[in-house]
Amino acid sequence: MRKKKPSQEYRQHLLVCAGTGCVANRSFEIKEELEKEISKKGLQNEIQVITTGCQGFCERGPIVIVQPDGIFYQRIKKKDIPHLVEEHLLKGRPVMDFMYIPSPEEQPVPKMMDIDFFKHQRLIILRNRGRLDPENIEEYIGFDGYRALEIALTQMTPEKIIREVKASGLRGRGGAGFPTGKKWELCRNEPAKIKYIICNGDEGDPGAFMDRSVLEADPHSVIEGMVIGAKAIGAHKGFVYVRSEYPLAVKRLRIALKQAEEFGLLNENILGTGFNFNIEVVQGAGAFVCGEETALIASIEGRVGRPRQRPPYPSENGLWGKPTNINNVETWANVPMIILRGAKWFSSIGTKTSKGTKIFSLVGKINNTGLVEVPMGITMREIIYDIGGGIPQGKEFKAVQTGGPSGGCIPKSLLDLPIDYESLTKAGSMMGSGGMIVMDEETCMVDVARYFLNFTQEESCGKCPPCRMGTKHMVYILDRITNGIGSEGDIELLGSIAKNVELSSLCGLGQTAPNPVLTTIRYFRDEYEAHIKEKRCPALVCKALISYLIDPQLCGGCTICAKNCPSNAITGEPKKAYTIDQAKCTKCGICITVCPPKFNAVKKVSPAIK
Amino acid sequence: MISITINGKRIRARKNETVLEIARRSGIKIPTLCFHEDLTPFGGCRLCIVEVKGKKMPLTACTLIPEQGMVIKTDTPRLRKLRKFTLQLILSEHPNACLICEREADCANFQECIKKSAVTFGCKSCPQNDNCELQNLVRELNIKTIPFEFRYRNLEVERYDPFFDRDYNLCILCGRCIRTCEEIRHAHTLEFHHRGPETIVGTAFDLPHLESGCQFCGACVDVCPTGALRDRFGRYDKPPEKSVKTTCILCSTGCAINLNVSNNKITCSTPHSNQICVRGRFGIAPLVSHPKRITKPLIRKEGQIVEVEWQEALEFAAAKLQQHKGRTGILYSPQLTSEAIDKLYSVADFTKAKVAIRTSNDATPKPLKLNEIKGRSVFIIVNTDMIADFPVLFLKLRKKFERRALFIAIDAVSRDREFAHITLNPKPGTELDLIESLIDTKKASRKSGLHSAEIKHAKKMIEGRRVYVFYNADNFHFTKSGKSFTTFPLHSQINSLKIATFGYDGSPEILDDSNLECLYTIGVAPMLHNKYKTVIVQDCFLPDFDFDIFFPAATFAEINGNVIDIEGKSKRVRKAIEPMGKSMSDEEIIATLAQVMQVKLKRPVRRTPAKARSRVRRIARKANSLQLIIRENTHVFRNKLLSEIMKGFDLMRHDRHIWMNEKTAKKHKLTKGMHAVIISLHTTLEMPVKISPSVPDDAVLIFYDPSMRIDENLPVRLECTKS
Amino acid sequence: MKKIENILNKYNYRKARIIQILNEIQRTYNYLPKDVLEYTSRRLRLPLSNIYSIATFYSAFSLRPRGKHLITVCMGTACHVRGAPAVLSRLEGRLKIKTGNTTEDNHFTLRTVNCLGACALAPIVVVDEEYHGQTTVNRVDKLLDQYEKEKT
Repeated sequence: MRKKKPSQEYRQHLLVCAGTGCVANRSFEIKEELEKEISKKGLQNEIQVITTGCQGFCERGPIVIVQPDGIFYQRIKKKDIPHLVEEHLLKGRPVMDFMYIPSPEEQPVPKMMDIDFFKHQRLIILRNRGRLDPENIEEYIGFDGYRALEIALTQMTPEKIIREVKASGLRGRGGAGFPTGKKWELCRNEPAKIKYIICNGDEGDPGAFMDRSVLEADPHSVIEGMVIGAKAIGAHKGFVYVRSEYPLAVKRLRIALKQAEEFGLLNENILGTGFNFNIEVVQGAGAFVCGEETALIASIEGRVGRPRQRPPYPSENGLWGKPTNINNVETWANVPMIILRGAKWFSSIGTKTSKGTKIFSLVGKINNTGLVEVPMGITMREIIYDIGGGIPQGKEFKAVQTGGPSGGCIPKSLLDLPIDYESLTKAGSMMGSGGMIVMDEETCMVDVARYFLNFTQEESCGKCPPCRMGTKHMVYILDRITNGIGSEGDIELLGSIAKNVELSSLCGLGQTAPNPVLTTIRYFRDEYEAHIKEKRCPALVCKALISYLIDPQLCGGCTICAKNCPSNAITGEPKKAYTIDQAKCTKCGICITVCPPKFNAVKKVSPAIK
Repeated sequence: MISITINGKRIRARKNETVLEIARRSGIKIPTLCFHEDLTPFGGCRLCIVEVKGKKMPLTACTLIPEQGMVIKTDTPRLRKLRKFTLQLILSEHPNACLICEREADCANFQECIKKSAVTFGCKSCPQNDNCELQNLVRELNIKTIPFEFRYRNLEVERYDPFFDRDYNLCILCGRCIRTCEEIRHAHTLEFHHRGPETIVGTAFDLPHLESGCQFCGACVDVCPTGALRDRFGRYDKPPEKSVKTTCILCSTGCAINLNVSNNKITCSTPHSNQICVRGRFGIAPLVSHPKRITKPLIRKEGQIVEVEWQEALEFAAAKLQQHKGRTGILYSPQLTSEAIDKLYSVADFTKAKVAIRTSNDATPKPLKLNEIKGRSVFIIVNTDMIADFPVLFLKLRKKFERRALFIAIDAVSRDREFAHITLNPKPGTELDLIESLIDTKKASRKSGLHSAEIKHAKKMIEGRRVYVFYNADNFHFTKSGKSFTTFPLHSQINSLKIATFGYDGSPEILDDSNLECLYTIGVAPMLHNKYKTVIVQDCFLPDFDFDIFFPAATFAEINGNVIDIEGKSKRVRKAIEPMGKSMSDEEIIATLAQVMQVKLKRPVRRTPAKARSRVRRIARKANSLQLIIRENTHVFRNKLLSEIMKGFDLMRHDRHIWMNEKTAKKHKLTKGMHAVIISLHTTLEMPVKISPSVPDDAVLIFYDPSMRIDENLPVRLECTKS
Repeated sequence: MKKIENILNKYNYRKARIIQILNEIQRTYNYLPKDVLEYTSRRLRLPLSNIYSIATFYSAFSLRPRGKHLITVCMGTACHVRGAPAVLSRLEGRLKIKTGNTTEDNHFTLRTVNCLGACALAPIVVVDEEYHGQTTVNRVDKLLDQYEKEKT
């Protein structure tokens, strides 16, 4: 490998996003091609190409940013590179074709900070994303990394650290939002000599990938936070529990840990202060329930992830019976900034009860899919429209699901809801890990409820009957409803089972599992009633309640749909209108996607045709 | 001490008491299913939830340790609703037809036949009907409907293992069986599989229990709140009319058991207080009502065996004993009650008979005094399969000393021993050397065939600890004595201590004496080496050899008496049913015989045992000869091996086989199922072959009887016979 | 058994590391073979019933041999909303197996996972370690063709 020059000697840096999303889109190949092309033009001593963590704007990957110009290139393909290098890097003329265009009528936006997606964000946790190589600790240090650690270890007592974190108002970013400072204090006050801290990276909420991002883009921020926390609490061993589906995060974390140790920031005698603390990475094995604190602890102990009743809480009796403090990845990543810039600064951001920023993963039916970090208190509308760019193909917004399988759906009427812990809970949902799944008019809310409950059932540990079987019976009922055999009273039955499951389940998984059902019934009862009374799915999703039809007026007889139908259900003569045999149709949806836009002849109707 | 309020009542509580424990001792009822007082709390069934002031969610009482001043309510409308909901959910996966049927009372008449349908679709066809915790809870919480769809798991009932069936269609996943198997019996056979609604209980890889380390102790069956795990033997019988507390005499531990009786039949035996083992749990009921049991006196008349009345049999025996006075040998088993033994010696004295018990070892039994064990200790267990031979005693040992004792297992036969911190498998015959080298700071044994590193490691672990050596006195001869260690020779037969008090001889004394004309066996089945003019057998089952008189003895379930256990405690055997047929207790038979012979029964005097037999010198093995490993068979009932009369024991133990490893078998061209003959200096034994990797190379293992005249110091040859 | 000893040694024979150990065993053998688990049970002095319980509890583990190519369909919410169920159906139909199983010729094993965290690429299908984003129902055939070509 070529020896790199120190960064300040290059005139320009090309930051290639290497988060999982962009890597899947071959961003490493982009990097290699860039380096090759730059070398060809003899620019290798002037321009450095580095890979960074996730930039957040995953919809537009692969992403290349040119610094210090701040020019943002998106959807870069290998074949674009020679032109890019020639025009921008050699001749100094940024290439408009590769820039971000909000909509076809508008002008391209060259600079990253002018793009709506980025403009409205406030990066604290993700401060380093996209601007440093996560596999190089020196870059992190160059951006004030580990300065907070130095302050905490050399200038502050553990009590002072805790006071600062308490004053900041930081609340757990994993879901429940328990005040972090208070949690640390509870653990600190336990008399035991051995204590542990754990970073919960078992981001199981479908649709959430902020923890993955942070670990891939800026693992040192988490490590720094953990060392500070360890000092405050009095722990000498920490674990980072990462789910098995995040191999890149594990890799980056391991590299970061090794480098931190080499720099005297981990293990023995950290920064010469005599404080010892080391961190071990532990991988999960595919169990959502292991995100629950007691199940996570069981998993680290080498047992099955079955939660146990709390109290006693982990801060009193945790890993191997010792006081243990568990915090989410995002929570830990906030800590260095709080120490560096002070609690007062941190608590100036956000709302009265929810301080600081939160990362949300904006996914689903949204134009700008990706990760956004915004101050608490921002409205849903701002996130979805200003940052997210609205719903694709001009469809209508219907709801946004927050909090994963433990959360609920927020309807259109609540779009101006300022986002914080309390307001989301009041609306029937919860902050959760910050996943925001946007749904449009083509999403069926009953199907969404069934989806979530199905998920919860698969992930239930099976220990207590309310969760193990209560959710199962709710799924049976929802299955009947989406299959067109729902009956009068089903909605009430769902509601009553839901309430009971909520109150009698052993752990958070069971206690919050009914939320998606309860919120969809609360805000979209009409959809449930349509399914039950009219056997109709308004969003045209539930297979048993829809039929695919070819509009004879619009069909051009091009035969494309018939050729692609996997069940040979479409027949007709060329140049004449084709028909779908309802008996053979499996409702796979291929015909509707292959029908040429000029005809757009395949339609879905509900109720189904007999 | 803290004080809390439950249902408005102020109660004082000790530190670390759970709310459930406090409630139970204060007479406050809280429903439970997964709770069991001997097991760690699980908190899974969610029935014991209580409301705590200031907490949003109800919490499980079984796990909750209260804080000072906590205010708790155990019975509110909300709690009742939630408990009912949970129980209804459980019932939606448990055959519930009868539980909520309005015609339950009328149906009582059809109970018996339906049970035999072998598919449990409801309480009436369930072996646990009227003996089921789930049923009781349904009645207590007054559940009349189940608003959930019923889904039958449709699993096949597991009937392929001995002694008990498993119908997991009835399992409510309370986890009690798993926790019992793990925490109390340490067998680790059962565990939860999968998760969520697919969760079920089973063994690793769903292998049969015979292949999963199951001890068939029945502890899981005893804690199962439903009919999912149930005895096979008594499952068609009515619930027991009475339960009699008695002592199991099948080994020297003398566990307290309950014999459950219905219609003058023992339907099953269950633990009275603590744990019991497979012998006491599943071996007693089928034995007492065994079809091959002889319950009428028999005499050989003109070459034929005929049934006679007691008077005739006793008079005949009396005459013979008179005739062979001075030339009679009486061989008996300590499994008799102390009263019977006392009377026996009176008769023996009168007839000037030689008396001996079924043993060949010379170690005099002494009471096992566990309170002699002090401080940091190491328990060295030699050549003894504690789990098979002394399971309940071993549980007691573990529980009492787990924290301060190290366990070292030394055995030529290798076996998975999860309790042993160190396992050493020396070559057969070198165990004593090995122990000496461990205890002595100087000697280092080479003969054992172990790596010196292993021995060094073990020695290091022993440093600073008191050494206690436990062994089955029949399997090992500890000739060393010293101050640095204490030995606990364990005798497996109950009442051995009774006999020790007035001296005894071992069976070779009698069996080798060619001058004896008459042999009288009581509860033993020796291998005979001589011919006798008269053979009198007093037992429950027919012996393998020819006899002239047979006295049918009653089993211990049918008599009263006292026995002394391994710790020296006197225990009571109580009659649960009338003796079957014409059988009589040993005591009564001997007393009546004495009466007929006009013998005055008096207190037995201490006898001087014959000179201790010199140990056979170890003879070196030649090429092609094998080392013999012998282990006492502790699964016996009087003159029968449990495996001879109950198939389940045969499947578990294979103790009527010759054991060898694959290599040895191949060398002698033997495979599983074939028969082989062991040829020793004095004896040949033919048995089927069992292949097991636990037997070392060039060795064979048998479960032996002391009368076999077989000695591990003599090499043996192995030959194959036609299978 | 040398391979297994290396794995066990790497984790210092610690029972608490069993999940990590099983992970490595699966990476080495492509599934968890019974005899390997029995060996591990003996060496770690961990009851086989415990190991089996862990292997069946965590969905990342497979006790049955897996095909040459592992096809994982993400069923996370974002993918669900963008049509993942249809993608799964199409794969099941084309491969003629149900989720969780392996094709007869042992070429493909099909399974689902509940969110990979690459939601921007929804619907996502991972084959071995390659992520294939935006694999909608009508792109499934092309994807499979790619991997089937190498069979011949």
